Amino acid sequence: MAQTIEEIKAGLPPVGNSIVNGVEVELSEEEKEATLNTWAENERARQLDEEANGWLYGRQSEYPSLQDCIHALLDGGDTLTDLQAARQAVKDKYPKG
Amino acid sequence: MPGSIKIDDGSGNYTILTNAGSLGSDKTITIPNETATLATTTATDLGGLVKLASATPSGASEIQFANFVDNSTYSKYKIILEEVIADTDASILYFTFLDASDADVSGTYKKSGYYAYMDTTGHSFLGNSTSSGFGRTAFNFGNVSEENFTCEIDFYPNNTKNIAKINNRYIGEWSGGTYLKSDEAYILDTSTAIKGIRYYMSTGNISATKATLYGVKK
Repeated sequence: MAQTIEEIKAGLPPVGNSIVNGVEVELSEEEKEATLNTWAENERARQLDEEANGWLYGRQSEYPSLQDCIHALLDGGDTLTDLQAARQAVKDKYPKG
Repeated sequence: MPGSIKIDDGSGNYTILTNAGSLGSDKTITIPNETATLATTTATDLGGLVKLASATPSGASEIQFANFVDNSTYSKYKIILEEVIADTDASILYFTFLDASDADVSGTYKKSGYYAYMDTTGHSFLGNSTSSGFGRTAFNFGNVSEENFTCEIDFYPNNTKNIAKINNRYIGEWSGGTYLKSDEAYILDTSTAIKGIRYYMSTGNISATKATLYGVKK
């Protein structure tokens, strides 16, 4: 469940200063508040995306490669059975939300 | 300690010039018609790659390299971000171009590229992709244990034509411990002269890195 903006802001670190050409430049309170709000909005968007698509990203990163799939389809038999089992294991690890 | 310079003609014949005294902190080499001082940030006469600026932030909300673009002297710029560590897990390192007054340059940043994992089979090619007012240099940063990224960036500012170009390459350990290599290029079509660049995380500070800006002379 994605956190609210206020919950996220409460857990974020204080906004640091800007470094311009190697020199530290202090941000105003208004600039820090604006940055904190942007951070919180970005984090909430990330959490919502993870809720909606996390299963997809997980599967994409761990499915057998296209080369392995083609190899298994052409070979058939145990090679194809093993590949299907490997794909199902990834699906089980990352169920649809 | 004394210092010396060995001048070799390539055939085993050489001359050694020795300074019998003590060398101070300022070490200067002079060759005909060119004079420069080593180990400074402005060694403009020593070669093609010139160190223009560097920063070693700790807990900074952003890193800016401002007003460094000089199209009459440099054909491109190289930016190295060493071992970037994020404050907040699973965050993205963004960049935005700056104009002459250090303001963000808005517009549609168009992207293509690819990424591939090193320890799982996943990979992806990215095309026909845009973002408004910024691009990303690296994504899904981690902040746990050894997780970090190192980025090498080639930046070609707009000059006689409008299009500013940048190529971001990074290698590192993602959030969650996966190793990754990525290469993404961006183009921004703008008549605004690009004069600088700033880096910042989607969420949280840049906990640590060493950022160095080089110019490649024409």
